[in-house]
Amino acid sequence: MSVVRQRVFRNAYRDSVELMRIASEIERLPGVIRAGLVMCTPANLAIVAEAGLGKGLDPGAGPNDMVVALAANDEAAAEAAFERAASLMRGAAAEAAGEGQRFVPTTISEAVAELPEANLALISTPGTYAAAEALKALKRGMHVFLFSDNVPVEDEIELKQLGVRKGLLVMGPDCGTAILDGVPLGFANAVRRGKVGLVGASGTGLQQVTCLLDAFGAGVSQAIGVGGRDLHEEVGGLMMLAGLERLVADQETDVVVLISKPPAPSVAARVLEAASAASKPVVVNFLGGDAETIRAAGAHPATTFEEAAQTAAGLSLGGTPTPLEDYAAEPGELAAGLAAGQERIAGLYSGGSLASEAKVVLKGLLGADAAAGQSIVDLGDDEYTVGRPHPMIDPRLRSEKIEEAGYDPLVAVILLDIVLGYASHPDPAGALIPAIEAARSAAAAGVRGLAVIASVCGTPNDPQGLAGQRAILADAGVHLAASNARAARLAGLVVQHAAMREVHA
Amino acid sequence: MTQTAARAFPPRRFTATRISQAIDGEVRAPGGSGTVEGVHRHAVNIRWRTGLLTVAHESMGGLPNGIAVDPPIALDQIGIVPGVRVESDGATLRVPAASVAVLLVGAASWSPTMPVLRGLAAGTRIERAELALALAADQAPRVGLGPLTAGLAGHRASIGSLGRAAARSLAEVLEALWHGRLERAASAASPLIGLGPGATPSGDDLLVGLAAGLAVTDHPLAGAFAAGVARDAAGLTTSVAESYLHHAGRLEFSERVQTAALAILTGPEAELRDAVSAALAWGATSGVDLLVGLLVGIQAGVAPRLGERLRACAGDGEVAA
Repeated sequence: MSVVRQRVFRNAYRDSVELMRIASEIERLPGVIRAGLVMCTPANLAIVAEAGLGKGLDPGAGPNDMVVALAANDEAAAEAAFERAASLMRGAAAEAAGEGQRFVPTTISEAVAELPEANLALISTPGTYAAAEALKALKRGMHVFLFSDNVPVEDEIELKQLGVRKGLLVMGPDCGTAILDGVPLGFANAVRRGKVGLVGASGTGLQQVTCLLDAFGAGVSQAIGVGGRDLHEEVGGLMMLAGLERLVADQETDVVVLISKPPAPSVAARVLEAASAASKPVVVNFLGGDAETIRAAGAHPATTFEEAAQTAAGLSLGGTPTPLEDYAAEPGELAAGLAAGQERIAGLYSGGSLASEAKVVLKGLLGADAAAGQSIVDLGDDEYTVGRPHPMIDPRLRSEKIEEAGYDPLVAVILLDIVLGYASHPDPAGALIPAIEAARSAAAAGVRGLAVIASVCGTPNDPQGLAGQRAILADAGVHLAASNARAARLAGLVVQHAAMREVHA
Repeated sequence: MTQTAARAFPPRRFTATRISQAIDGEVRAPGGSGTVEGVHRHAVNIRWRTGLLTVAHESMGGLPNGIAVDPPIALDQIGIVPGVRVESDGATLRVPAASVAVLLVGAASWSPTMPVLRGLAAGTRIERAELALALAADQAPRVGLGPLTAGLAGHRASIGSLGRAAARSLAEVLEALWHGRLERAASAASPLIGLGPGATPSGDDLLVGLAAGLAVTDHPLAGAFAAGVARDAAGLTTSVAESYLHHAGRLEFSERVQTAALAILTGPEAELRDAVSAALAWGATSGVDLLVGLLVGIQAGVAPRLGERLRACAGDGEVAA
C-alpha cells in the first residue's frame, strides 16, 4: 500500500534544472515511487493532482512556495525522501546565501571584481572556450595557467605571442603543474622551497624532478609548466624561453632546470643558445636528446629526471646531495618465479612524461628493438580519458588494465608510477592493491609468477604521505624503486634475466 | 541574522549603469523602500511599493523592471538574503543589512518598449521564423519547451505533456486572435499561466515571448491581449513571472528579447543564428520557452500551417514530418 505525501517550502525559488535534478535524486531513493518538485502555482498544482500526488496538499501553499510531492512505499520512505530533499534544498540555499561557501567565480570579470589584485588566472574550462578566457586574462594583464586541453595550436601560438609582448607567462594549454612562489597549481607536490628554478614542457616530469630535488635535500624557487607543445616547431619554445629569462633574473634562483621531450631542432638550438648566455648554471633534460649538444652549449645534460634533479641539487647545495633511499631488489630474484615465455613489461602509467622516461631508459638498457617490444602505456593520454577522469584522480581504468595484465602469459613485470600531491587521488597506492592482488592470483592460476615494480612520485609533506603510500605497496609485495628511472631499469633487468635464462635453458 | 550578515561580508558598492524607464521614476524618488524577495547569482529581486524591481548584472542586459549594475560580483555571495530591507534616497539604493550600496546617479535611462516593425511581408516573417525554429530544434535542450521546437520545426518528436499543453493553448490563442476574439484568446492562454517548473514557469515565459512576437510585428491585438494575460496572471504565478507578464502587458520586454526579435526578423542570417543560440542559453529553460512564444507570435495571422502543426503537437505528441 503506497502513500502520497507533500512538503511545502515557503518562498523557495529554484531554477527548473535544479528542481528536476533534485526530483531525479529523490526518485532514486529506495521506496520512492514517483516524485515531483514544482512551484505551487494553480496550474502546477492541477498537474500534481492529475498525477495523483496532490491528495492532502496544504491549501495555504501559494505561487511563490515550492512543493515536493511524492508517492512512496511507506511513511518511512516518504520521510527519508523529504529529509533528503530538505537537505538538498538547504545546501542550495546556503550556497545562495553565501554561508560557509567559498566564492566561486564563473567568469574572469567576476573573479577580477572579487579579487582586483590577482595577477594570475587558472583556467580549466573545456578547450573550446579556454582560449577566449585566456585572452581575456592576458588583456587584463594577468599571467595564465591553462589547465585545459584540446586548445588548437593556432590559439596557443596567438596566446603565447601576446604573452611575450605583454611580458606575461602563458603556462599551457594542457599544463598539469606549476609551483609559483610556493603556491602549487594543478597537480603539484608539497616540496620544500629552495634555489632551483624549473621550466618544464612535461607535467609529471616536473613533478618527478621537484620531488627528487626534495629527496636530495634541495628545494624549489619556481616551477613553471609551459604545456607539452611549447617546444614544437610552430610554437617555438616561446614560454620556455620566457621562463628561462625570468629564472635567470630571479634573485631567489641559483640553478635552472629545463625539462622537455625532444624539442624541434630549431627550437632546441634557440633554447640552448639562451641557456649558454645565462649567468646561472642550467641543467637540461630533453628526454632522449643528445647530451653532447647540450654540453657544447655550456649546459649540464641529464638523461633522466633523477639525473636532472641530482645534478641541480648538487649545484644548488654546493656538494654531494643526500643519496636516495636504495631499495636494492635483485632482478635475478624477481625473474626466478617467472615461467617460460614471460618476457614482457606491462608499463601502466598515469604520468605521460614518466612513461616517456621509462621508454628512454628501456631503450638504453635493452636496445631499440627489445624496448619497442615492451608495452609502456600512458593511461592519461586523450585516448583513454574521453568521458572519464585522469588516472591520477580515478584509478578504475588502471586497475582494469593491471588485472588484464595478470592474465597475459607474456607479461613478466607490471611497472607502475604512483603520483602523489595536490589534486591526485587521496590513496593512489591503496586504490590499486585489489587489482594487483587479482593480477597475481590470475598469474598464479596459470602457474606463472608476476613481478610488480613501482616508484612513488611524492614527498613526505604531500597530503597522501610518502612513507604510508610506500608501506602500502611494500606490504602488498610490490618492489619499490626510489625513482621512475630506477623502476624502469629494474623492470628492464628482470626481463633481461628472464630472456637470458631461456637462452641458457 | 542581519548583524551576522553585516559582520560576515565587507561593504560593497555598485554603480547602476542603466535603469528601465518603466521603473526609473519610482526608484529614483527619495524615500522609497522595499524588501528583498529573491537572491540569485546575477540578480536580486526586490518587492517595491509599486511592483517587483530587479537589480542585475549589466551582462544580463536591460530588464523591463531592472537596474543594471557593475561590477559583476556574484550577488548571492555578498550577504543579501531574502527579507532584508532596501532603501532609496533617490541617489543611492542601499541594503543596510548587507552593507551594499548601488549608486544610481549617472545611470542611463533605458527604454523597455518593444520597437515595432511595420509592413514586414508575411513571407519574410514565416521564412525567418521557420529558419529560427529549425535552428532551435537542433540546439534546444530537452527540458522546458525544448522538445516542442522539434515538433514545430516539423520533425518527428516526442513533445511531452508540457509541450502538448502549450501547443494546445497556442493553437487556440492563434485561432482566437485570427477571428479577433480577444477574450477567448486570453482565456485560451490562461492554462499556461504558472505552468511548468522553475522560478519563471515555462508557460509564463512562453506567454511573454508570444506577446513580444505580436508586439514587434505590430499585431493589432498585441497590447490588449498581453494586458489581458497580465491581469489574469495576478496571484496565479510566481512574483518574478508575474512581474515579467505585467511589463509584457505594457509591451515592455527585456533587451535580450528585443534584440532577438529584431535579429530574427531583420538581421543577416549569421545574426539570426547567433540570436537563436544566445536565446537558448538564457537561464535553465527560460530561453527556449521565450523563443517558442516569440517565433509563434511573429507568425500570428500569417501562417495557417502553424496552427495545424500546433494542433498536431497538441495531439498524441508524436509529430511526423
